[in-house]
Amino acid sequence: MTRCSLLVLALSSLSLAQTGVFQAANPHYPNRNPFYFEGKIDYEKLGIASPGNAWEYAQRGIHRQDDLEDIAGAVADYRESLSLNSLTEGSCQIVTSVPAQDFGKLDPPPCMFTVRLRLGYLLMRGTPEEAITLFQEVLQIDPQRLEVNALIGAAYQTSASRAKGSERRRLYSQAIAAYQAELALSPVTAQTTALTGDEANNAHTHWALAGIYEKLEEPASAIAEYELYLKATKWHSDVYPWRIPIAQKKIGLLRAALPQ
Amino acid sequence: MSTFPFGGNSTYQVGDLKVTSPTPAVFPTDFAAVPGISTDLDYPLQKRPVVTHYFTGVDVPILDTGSLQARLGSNYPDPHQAGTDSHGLPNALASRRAELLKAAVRISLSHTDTTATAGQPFLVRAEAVSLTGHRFPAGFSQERTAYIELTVKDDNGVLLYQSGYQVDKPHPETGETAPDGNLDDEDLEHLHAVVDPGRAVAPYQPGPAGNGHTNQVFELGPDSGPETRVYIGAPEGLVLFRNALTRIYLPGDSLGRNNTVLDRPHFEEVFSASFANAVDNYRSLAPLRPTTYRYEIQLPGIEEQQALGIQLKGPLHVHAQVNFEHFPPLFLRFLARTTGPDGPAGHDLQLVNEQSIDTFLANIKNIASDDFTVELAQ
Repeated sequence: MTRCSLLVLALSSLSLAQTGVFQAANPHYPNRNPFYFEGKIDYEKLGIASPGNAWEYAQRGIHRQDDLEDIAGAVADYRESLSLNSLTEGSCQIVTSVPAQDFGKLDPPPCMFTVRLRLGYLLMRGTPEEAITLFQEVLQIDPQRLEVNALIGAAYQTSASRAKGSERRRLYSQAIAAYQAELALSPVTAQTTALTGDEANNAHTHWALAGIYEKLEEPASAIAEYELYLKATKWHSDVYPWRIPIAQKKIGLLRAALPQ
Repeated sequence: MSTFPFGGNSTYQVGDLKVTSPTPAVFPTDFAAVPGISTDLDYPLQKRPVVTHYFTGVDVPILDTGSLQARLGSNYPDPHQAGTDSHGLPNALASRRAELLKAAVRISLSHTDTTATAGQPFLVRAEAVSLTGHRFPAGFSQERTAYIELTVKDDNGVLLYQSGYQVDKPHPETGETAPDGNLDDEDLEHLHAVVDPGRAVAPYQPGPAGNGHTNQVFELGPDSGPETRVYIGAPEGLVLFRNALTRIYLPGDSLGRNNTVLDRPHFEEVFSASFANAVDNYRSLAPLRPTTYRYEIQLPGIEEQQALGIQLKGPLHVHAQVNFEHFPPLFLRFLARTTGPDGPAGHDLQLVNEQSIDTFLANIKNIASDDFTVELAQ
């Protein structure tokens, strides 16, 4: 009798585990999610002899890029991954609502962002336009994700540096808009300042904007951005600390050149 | 030199790294049990090699010894007790911990680019391995923090690049209104985050409205590396051997720091294990298999050198060291606020505050290091 009860109990536990309703009565227990693991797993642990799906191609691409410095191989794997996780071909979807049940079984599966970011980064110097398209897909997947707008800004900067005339100015304007969008995602609010003492953040974004305004010969805007860069580095310095005295010097030079 | 009874160094190969580390297992000679107390009928014992049972780990209490003994008993050992035991082993947990950490990791810069040019990028390759037999850090690896501090200087000592650095700053959130001259209580500069401590709600209701745990401030810093390296694949920024807690917010959720209601999923690092619903345990350092971390470093060009009034002098000096801090200060500040008088309990639980963070959060720096010189082409 006892043995029979245990068997029933074990089977019912198994059944609950399989349907994912463990803790279903607890409203505060985290829901399962349908998303791929975004990030990098030690490749040797995966035991992938030959990639069989979008995620496995992405993981092999990461292994080739990070561990083997095989950039061509990584690009090929990322492209194959995206051919199997494609927005345009409908082999992945943007999640816009929480399904009522079976959240772990979305079909088609959600679109991945890591593979798009990594391929876009590798294409930024050669084909920035293609990189921008990939980054914009990431913003469709997760519009709140930090760094993506800054990458778009950097890609537009690369394009602008190769263009001339009005096209150059248009591309720089696009870069400025992208960098401003990056700043808007983590604004410095009164709460930020009260909690941290920071009056500005995103030092690298302000540095990039200042450089663009200098190229566009808009000294007042360049000065404003260099000043924000200095505020952002006041309590955080910079990985390139020599930029701080350069910013101070540029502010002086730009101010001197302003019309009286 | 180890403060333990020292058996010399061992040199061995791990992947392509030649590793030198203190020889383990210098066993003291003693009775395996206490004669007449742990043996029946005063059974005669022979002295033999024995193993001590300190079970030293990588954490030390964030409490003074008096408070520890008041809470846990008057015979609770002082984590910082001076001297050695009868076998010559350090009495202090803190000392044993530091020795343990110094044997845990090795780092090499030997595959770094050998030449660099002003105005151009060059690659530093830091190859690191955990010798612990498990990932490093392990255990509560989403808060225990190990990282690479890296600097590049020219031959005149001009600092050209830094990663894994800290800056002395105020912490108004916990009442520290000015820099205090202490770097051990500073977070690394890859991320600026402040965690919502929650607030007292009567009657108590579970969930973020009362408990907080969302990020009140969340922005990437100038040394952004962990996210950048993993998701973008860019060889830049901090190398952080800390696993990551993540909250996958779903459509309809709020981030808690503004009024935005999400219409798409959003992945964001969080610092509370109970609030996370995903975890990345592959950011810590893999054991016995060296991993290479690249840094693409841009050198100042001629115009920038002129603006600085300097001329770069070769060779460049690259220094890398692995440091360990047992908790990120932002996590302890979250604990201070959430257990403080304004937290969900509605009164001060007397666990941790800015003063105890300043006093007891001590980083163990330079548990492994390497240096490399790079020729400067003009």
